[in-house]
Amino acid sequence: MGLGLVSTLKLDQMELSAFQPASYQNENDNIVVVVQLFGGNDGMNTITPYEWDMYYKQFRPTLHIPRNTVTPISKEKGMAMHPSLSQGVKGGMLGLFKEGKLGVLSGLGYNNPDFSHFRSTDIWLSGIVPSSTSQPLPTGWLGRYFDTFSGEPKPESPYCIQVGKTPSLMFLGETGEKSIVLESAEDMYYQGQQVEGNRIAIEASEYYKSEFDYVNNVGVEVQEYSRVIKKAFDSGKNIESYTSATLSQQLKLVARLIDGGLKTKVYFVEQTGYDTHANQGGLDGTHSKLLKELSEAISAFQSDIEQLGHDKKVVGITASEFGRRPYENGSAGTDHGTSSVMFSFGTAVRGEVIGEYFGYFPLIDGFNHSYATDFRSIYFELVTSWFGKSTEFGAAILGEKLSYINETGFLKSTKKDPTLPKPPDPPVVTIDPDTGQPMVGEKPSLEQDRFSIFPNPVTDDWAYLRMNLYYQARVVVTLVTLDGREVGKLMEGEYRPAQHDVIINLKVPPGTYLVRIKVGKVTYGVKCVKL
Amino acid sequence: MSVVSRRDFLGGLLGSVTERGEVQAGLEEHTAPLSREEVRHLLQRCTFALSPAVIDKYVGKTAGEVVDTLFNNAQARNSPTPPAFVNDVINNPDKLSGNRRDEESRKFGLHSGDYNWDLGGWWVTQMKTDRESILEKMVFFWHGHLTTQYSNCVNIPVIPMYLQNDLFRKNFAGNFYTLLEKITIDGAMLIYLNGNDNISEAPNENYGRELLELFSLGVGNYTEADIKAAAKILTGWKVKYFADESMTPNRGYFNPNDFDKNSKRFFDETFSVNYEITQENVYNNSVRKLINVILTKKGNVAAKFMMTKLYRYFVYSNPNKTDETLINDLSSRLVVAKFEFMPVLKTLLKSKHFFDEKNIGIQMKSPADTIVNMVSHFKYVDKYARNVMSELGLELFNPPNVSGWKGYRSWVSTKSLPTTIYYIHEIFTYNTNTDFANWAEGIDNSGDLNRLTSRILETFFGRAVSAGRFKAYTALLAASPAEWSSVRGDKNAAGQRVKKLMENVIKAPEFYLS
Repeated sequence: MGLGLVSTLKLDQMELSAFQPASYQNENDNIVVVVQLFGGNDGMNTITPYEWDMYYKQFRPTLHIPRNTVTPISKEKGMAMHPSLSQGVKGGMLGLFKEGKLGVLSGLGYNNPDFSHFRSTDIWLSGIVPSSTSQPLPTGWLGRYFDTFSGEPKPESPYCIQVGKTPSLMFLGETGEKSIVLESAEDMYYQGQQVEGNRIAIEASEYYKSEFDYVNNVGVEVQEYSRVIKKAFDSGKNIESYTSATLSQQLKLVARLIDGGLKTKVYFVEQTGYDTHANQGGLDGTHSKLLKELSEAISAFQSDIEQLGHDKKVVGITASEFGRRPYENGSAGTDHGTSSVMFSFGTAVRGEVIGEYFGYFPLIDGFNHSYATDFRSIYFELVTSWFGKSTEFGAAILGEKLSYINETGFLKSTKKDPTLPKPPDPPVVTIDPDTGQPMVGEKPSLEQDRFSIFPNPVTDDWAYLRMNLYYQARVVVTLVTLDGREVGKLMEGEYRPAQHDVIINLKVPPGTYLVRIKVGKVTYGVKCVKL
Repeated sequence: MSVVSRRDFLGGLLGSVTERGEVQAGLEEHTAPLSREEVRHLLQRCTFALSPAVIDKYVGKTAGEVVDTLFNNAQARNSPTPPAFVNDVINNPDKLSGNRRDEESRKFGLHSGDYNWDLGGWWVTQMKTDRESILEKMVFFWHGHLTTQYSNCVNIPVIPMYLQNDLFRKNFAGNFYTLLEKITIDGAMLIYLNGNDNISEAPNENYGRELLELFSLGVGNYTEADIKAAAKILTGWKVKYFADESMTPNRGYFNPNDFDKNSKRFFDETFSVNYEITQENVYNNSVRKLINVILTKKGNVAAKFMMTKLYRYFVYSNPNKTDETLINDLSSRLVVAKFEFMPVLKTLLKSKHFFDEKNIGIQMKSPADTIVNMVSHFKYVDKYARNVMSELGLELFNPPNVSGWKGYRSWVSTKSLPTTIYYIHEIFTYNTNTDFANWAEGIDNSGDLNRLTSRILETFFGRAVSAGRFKAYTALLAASPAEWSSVRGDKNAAGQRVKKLMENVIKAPEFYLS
């Protein structure tokens, strides 16, 4: 091997491994639209396992979406689409799926899921999977992306635009916020003209000046960008018609700004209300209404962007901070869960079902599904395949190189990359030999030690009854003597699956009693001694 | 992508953090009588609502006198009348039927929802009427430090949120041992950081972790094993809201069945359970002992952690190396004072360092500073002021996460700046021209054009402006002192001008600095 060859190899390696200093001048024209579904979307009622008895009988006895209303999107994987997703322009999101412009990405999640909204939302927005519950999540993945341009002058158009109220962590970088937040271009313009938009030169020593200049510059930036945005708004248009729902209106604004020539790379819109702990409802419920709004908004946007001729450079994704548990709770709702589905949309996406159905994955703790693909894979693919950055660049933003979902990713432009880590094997789905259907978790055992009384012996006129309930049910507690005579009803109520400590009144003569607990149709008993 | 280089004024400035110059003055007491600017500086940092009349009262007094007064006044007013709903008694609606069920359900709904907003309004009222004490600034400090968010998936009802606020009031500058002991079994905290779920069979480490990481020591001063041990030591504390389910609704109580009775080791100290398991014994031998071990064994670390945070809160959010020496000095004093905050805070606020010219006007105001001060002068509804603050990123009783608000430059962003101006305009619409005129008339010597302008500016600005800009602000009221004298007689015309001045005041960078 000659000397020259060695040095070329070295150079190659350098180019591959060095973190390329980016220049904003070289960014491509591609745009991402992130639709954030705040509150934790219930994946199982969005994409339903329409042939699965367990779904109808055990998990969602009252909240399931009836089999005859859904449209199968993968017979092989047993997945169907909620009827609300066929609402909107040209058959809504189902229509987009049929045209190959909607991807259904199943089984996304992360290790050691956090069930706090805020924490889990922050994990999704930061693109950091923390190793402990207190690891700080100081910046967002797009904030870090645009941090790489912080040495350059700010571009004419803002890097990112958030349509909504509050700046999202997603756009917070180490060198400040990378997005402009607005609810309407006209309000933004009006408000932007109210701020002090001139630079004020003050005579002061450096220390005070730096804080003063900081505030002053925020004002200058607001005014400048409000003009740029208004200009794009005035020269842009919409062709498709949208509903009056907030999300539709937000996406309408995004389409118009894109059409008006704004060079912003990322748009962020949000739909709230997915935290359906109570009254999630079935076919006519809250969740169904949200999905209808989602479908109407996304289908109108996609149609609009196609008619405006920008579809080749725009892709969208939906994201939510977590899924929901398979078991419905006692309040006609569902609780925070783990693994779920995401959607991708646009002419550049693979319009197919990607990944196995998450609902069949085993439960990790009796309540929550395991997941197949780290959600950061989606971001990683956007950075590399859509924004055209190297996988090293992607790793610098997201902490490590990640495999693309299903290896080939969700974008048509993505190619299988052998240098990326192999995707982990998806969780093994167990098939119940009796039914031939997927079986999830253990069949709950009904043991008496799920109830206890303390203190026992009972010294006062009251005690706590601890109940560990696995199903939501009506609970009736009565006090009975050992010879079976009923002394009285202690309490009655509807309880969610959880641990409950309830006070029971025991103003009874000393002796040994049986506390009889009726949970639904099953009866348990706990002995207690009254002193 | 096109880049427009003519706007290089934006380049890199945002977010770049420049250190201020070194302040050489230390903790020695500033004994000279206070100038007007110094009084303004002290009051702006220690209260949410500033007024020229209050500044007048303290000019010429010493820092020692004024700071003592701010603390004495705080002690005197730390038991305000709570909102009426705090006295409500609620039974579990699930155990009732018919009308009673509906009634309790409705009540509980209000307690979990709207009343938390009302409580925010109540707090705004406390803040805006507290012009001469350090109380509300300290309560807000503790709220951001020992955080609880009422809106955490399943809302925390208002009574425990109120009780936590009251705990901060009663211990506004008190003893850190006491405060940590009490917050550990505080009802709202037990819900927020899952103490309620921390049981011997399944210890929940949420609170134990934050106690060490965010509340007392800071990251890197404990191990994962310490967290696990702390969680076990703190098992068994619960809270219930309903009167029919608890002897002490909304307050922490002890449930012996959930308590881990094994011995634990924490910071090389054994926590054995060789006593009769009663609420009182467990409180003393587990909760209090745990806090005692933390603050005794790692006293220097805890003191540094707390004094850094308080320095950032009261003096400057971006301290440099020289300031750190001073913070070390403060920390040693806190250890010597056995973690009594009051003497150490007084030392800081009376010091030459605090009054150094370099430290004036360099703090970013929070929305609480800007909005409360504004509604302390102009008519508005306190509950709406709470909503405005929330729109600006500071929702009382609902910080963004367990580490509280980020503070400093996060308060002034491309979203919050125009929105602040927008909402203050809304506050102005609650006031007629006559209201503006009457407000200005209420300022001492308001007939004197220059004096009135300077009084108005000092009320809202972190620092005095240059002579040129001062003149421009004056011109918004009148072209000359004589013209102002004549305009004053016409309330509508005068009010219009005062309003015009205020509309410009809120645009100035100084308005966002303290």
